[in-house]
Amino acid sequence: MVRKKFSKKEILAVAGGILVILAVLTFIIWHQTETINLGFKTRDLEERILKLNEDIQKLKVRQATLRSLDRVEKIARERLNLETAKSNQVIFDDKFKRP
Amino acid sequence: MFEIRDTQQRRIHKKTILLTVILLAWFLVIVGRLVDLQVIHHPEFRTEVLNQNSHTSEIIPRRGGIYDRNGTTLAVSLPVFSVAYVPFKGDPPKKHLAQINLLQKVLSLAERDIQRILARIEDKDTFVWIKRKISDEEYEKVNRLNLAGISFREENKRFYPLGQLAAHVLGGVGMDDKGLSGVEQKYDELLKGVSGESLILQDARKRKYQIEVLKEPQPGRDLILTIDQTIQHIAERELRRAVDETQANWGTVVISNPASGEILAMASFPTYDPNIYPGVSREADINRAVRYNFEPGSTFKIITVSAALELGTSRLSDTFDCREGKIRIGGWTVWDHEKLGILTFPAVFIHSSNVGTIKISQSIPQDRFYNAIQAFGFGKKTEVGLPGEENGIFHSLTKWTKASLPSISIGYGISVTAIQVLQALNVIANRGILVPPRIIKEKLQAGVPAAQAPRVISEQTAAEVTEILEAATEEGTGKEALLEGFPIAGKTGTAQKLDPALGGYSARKHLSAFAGFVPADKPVLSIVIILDEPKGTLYYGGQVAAPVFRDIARSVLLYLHEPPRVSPKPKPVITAQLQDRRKP
Repeated sequence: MVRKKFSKKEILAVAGGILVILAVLTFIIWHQTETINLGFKTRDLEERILKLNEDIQKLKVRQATLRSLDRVEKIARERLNLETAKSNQVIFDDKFKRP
Repeated sequence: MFEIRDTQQRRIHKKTILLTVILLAWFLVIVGRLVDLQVIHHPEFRTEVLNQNSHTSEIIPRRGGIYDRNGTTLAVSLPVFSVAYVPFKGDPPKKHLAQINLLQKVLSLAERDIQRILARIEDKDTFVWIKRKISDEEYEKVNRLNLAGISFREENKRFYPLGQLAAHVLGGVGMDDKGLSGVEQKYDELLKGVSGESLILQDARKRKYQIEVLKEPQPGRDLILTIDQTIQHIAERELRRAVDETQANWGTVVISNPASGEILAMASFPTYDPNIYPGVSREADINRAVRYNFEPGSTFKIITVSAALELGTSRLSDTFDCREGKIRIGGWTVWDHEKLGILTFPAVFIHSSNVGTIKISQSIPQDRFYNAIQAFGFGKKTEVGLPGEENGIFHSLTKWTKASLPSISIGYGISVTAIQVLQALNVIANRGILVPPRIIKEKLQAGVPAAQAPRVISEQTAAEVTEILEAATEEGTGKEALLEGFPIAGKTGTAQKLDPALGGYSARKHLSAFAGFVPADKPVLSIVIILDEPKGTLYYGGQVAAPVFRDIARSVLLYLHEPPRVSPKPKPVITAQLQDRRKP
């Protein structure tokens, strides 16, 4: 019986094939894992954007509340002791009327 | 020696091959399985995983915002959290109670809320609301407790950043964001939008890693009102002051631009904060400008004189004997506030003579007077764009008695709303054209285009009535409405109220009003003011409502950059009396 000897080329070819298969499989698994990870990151960022937009809206509402005429008038009258101008205290110039 | 070595080598070689084959086979099995999982059955397994780790969720649409005519935010929806309890099966009741008690302080839950929650848990409900639409601070506190079974749901909450401003126009929404009153109710379908649907993918630890929108939500439509924040503020401020000073039961003010019919302000007092709606008292909830019928009294004389002049049944030069100071109609005696002598047609109006007005009305055929009142828009909704608007009470001609025409001519036997009075007043301000009032800036309401707006009276009649109205403020009962530098056309009204206990009109309970527009020759504003049962010695419309008109008009004209006239307008037409009214 003659033992068949594998040539170096054959061994390299098989090893190479195995490596390629391993590489492809590794890539597929890595790709899928990475996709999921990126999904998490994207989701986190999207949530952050949403949250920031909500914060902006809430701040706008807060700003509107602080600028409400009721509040401004109350501060003007009670804290700054301002009064509504009487008719004879108002002087109208040419620029007063809107075009 | 060589044979032994050869045999050993062969054995080793065989073993090596065997091991290699085993390893290769094992490797191939693994590769095969990997290919099977990741390639061949990938779509199938993916679907299976998705089924296990995904669920669809409703995307709540953003409710449309409400803005004033200048874009100021009046109502807006923002996402907030609601707290729910999802009890674990088999947990002992003591554990539930402990969990809920922990939340009680943080969320300021009332005892009845606790009882409700525990009752639901006892009923083995799998989902129990603890508190809905909590504040950010409450959310942080509950989140920090990290309690088992507590979950948060995102919902939208309606915010009214300006508080009570325009509360009756805006209305309010319920817990589920459904409009319950005001424009929130009237335009709920437009505001609420359409829900969407999303697919949420999560991993084994229930972390969301992907959200796919299956159906895009359609946000609600924004509404732009004709209301002006500043004018509304002025109206509310002056109304509140008037109600406080006169101790009236309630009051209402409506301000419009007569040419466009746009309502610039609509205020009612008592009022409420829509941020805590519902739950306000019934008294505060009523928008008196559109949901309250009242007998208008003398303000209705505007219609009577307009009809008489338009139909030609009276002329400006006609005179009327009011020396007796009273007149009998259908078994009732109607009095003037004093004996006024013989009055010209304008003087009847200027001094608000009931006797004179009834005498003017007696020359108008019933059916034509009826048609004139209808043409001014009484007896039907103005369709201003608010829910619950009243028609007023205006009986059909077939139900009229002999007393109907004279009593209606002075504003009794007919009930109207403040918005109807404003609409009728605008007919005069618009030189005879009826422009329906509206609260929505955009064309959402089915209405008559301005170009096709019906003419109710001729331009000449409207001009004559305007001059009489001007004289009524300059010389008559509306003097308190006068504003330096601005010609004002207006009419006071002081209607006695029906008292069911007396079975007739009360001498103590009045509804005081003023309706006018300014400047009289080129109106920018028309204003109606109603005060119900002012207490004390001052209760006439000219005493309590006319000053409110003046104060509102002064501030609003300043805000609108309307400068006063430098030279006063020459006095209007014929106002002289033929006889001293004090010597009948």
